[in-house]
Amino acid sequence: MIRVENLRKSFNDQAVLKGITATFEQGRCNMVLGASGSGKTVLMKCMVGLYAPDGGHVWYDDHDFYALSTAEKRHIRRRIGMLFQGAALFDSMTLEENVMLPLRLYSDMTPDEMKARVNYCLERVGLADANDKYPAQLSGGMKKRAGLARAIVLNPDYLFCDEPNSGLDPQTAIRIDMLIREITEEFQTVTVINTHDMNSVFEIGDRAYFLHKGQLAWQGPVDAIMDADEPTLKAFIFAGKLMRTLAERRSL
Amino acid sequence: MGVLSGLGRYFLLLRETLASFEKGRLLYERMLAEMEDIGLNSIPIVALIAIFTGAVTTVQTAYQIVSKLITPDVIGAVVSDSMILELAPTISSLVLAGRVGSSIASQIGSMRVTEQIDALDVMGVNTPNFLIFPKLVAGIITIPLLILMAMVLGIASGMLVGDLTGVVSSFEFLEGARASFRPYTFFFALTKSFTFAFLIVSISAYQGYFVRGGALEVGRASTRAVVFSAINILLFDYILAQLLL
Repeated sequence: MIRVENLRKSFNDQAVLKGITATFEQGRCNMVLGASGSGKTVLMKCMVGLYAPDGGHVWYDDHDFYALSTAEKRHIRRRIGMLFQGAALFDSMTLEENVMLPLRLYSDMTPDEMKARVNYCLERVGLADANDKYPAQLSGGMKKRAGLARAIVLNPDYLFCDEPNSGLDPQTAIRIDMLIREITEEFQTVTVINTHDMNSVFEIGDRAYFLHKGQLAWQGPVDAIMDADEPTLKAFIFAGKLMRTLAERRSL
Repeated sequence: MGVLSGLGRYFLLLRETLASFEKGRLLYERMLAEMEDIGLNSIPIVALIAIFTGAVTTVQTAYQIVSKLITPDVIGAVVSDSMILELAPTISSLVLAGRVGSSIASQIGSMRVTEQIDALDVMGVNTPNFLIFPKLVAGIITIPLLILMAMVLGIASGMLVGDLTGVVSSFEFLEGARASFRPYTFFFALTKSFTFAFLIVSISAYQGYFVRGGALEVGRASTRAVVFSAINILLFDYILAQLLL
């Protein structure tokens, strides 16, 4: 379980997070929703320790992350897998080297065991024959899948995905969503997903957290989103014609 | 205030670089790759500049010596001393600040803006150690070797040009060089080489590591890396000369 308590963060006196409190459960896809600039990425980066918050706490089970020493923080971070918006693969390394890096850093596996694990992860994300390719040779969807393979190679307890399907075609997007869902259920990870794609939310989400102008405007089970009374959430969900049509049909 | 906080961040980054070490095997592999990038790939440009510097110094020294009372072997002494004491360490380092410094700053800066450093941070890696330490060690090993090579090539080309143009024979040139050689001069040049190597790598890495923004900022960081490395090379050239000579 991950819990954030009254998390606050400002940049140049502009408040981006205005006291967020939420709990993210294990074995579930926790979807953080919001428009661009609502603070989703900043929240995620505060949770993984890339931005130090101005106030508040981030709890990883019983550990108050920002009260830990640097060494203890690193220990927690080794249990975190993160898929970045741009995949953040290392340009100078092949896919195999990219995925193998966490193993080389932290595992006691033999080279053969590492290779087997890397092959398993690449196969899992549908990149079985791409070991020797460099990130520059991959499409956007392949990069995301490779990023996911790297994120799960150490069997993380906490999986963070920042806009995992932004910029992808609908089929590839769903494939990545389903992969995240499978991994979450199989490894019982605490999965936190930033997205503004409602398809993703309904496809794989268990619980949703809606951020609006740096505040948690609504949270609840994904099933309850359509009936939520929060006006900012309604405006966000029903901004598109498709969702408005669906809502109308649903109410008939 | 900006300068002071910049200096503070620079020293904090250096402290982080040496604070906790990642797996030795990984650092060793990265160091070998950096030695190739910083050292091997810089051989052609450093060699070219050293050869021409030595040749020009010989011709100009001969031109300036007009008195019949001065024997031609003095040219050998002047050229070899100049190459060892100043030309090879300083000019090579200024060139390397351009070639190596800009490359380090843009490499690390690109990693920063494409979230690759964030990805390493999230993995729990001490990123300054992982990214900067291998470059620092590779620079400190290979840049003095490049400077050593520049000294040899500069003196050799000076000797060759002197001989070919009939200004001074190789024998006289070497006699002059041998007579004027003092081990302390060599020690001083090596001290400068290590200092310049450290400055080039650490300043450039600092510029790249703290880039914020996109491609434009990476380009600016790369320019700053070259400019600040060059200024510091000249500054420390003077400080070391004042302290050690």
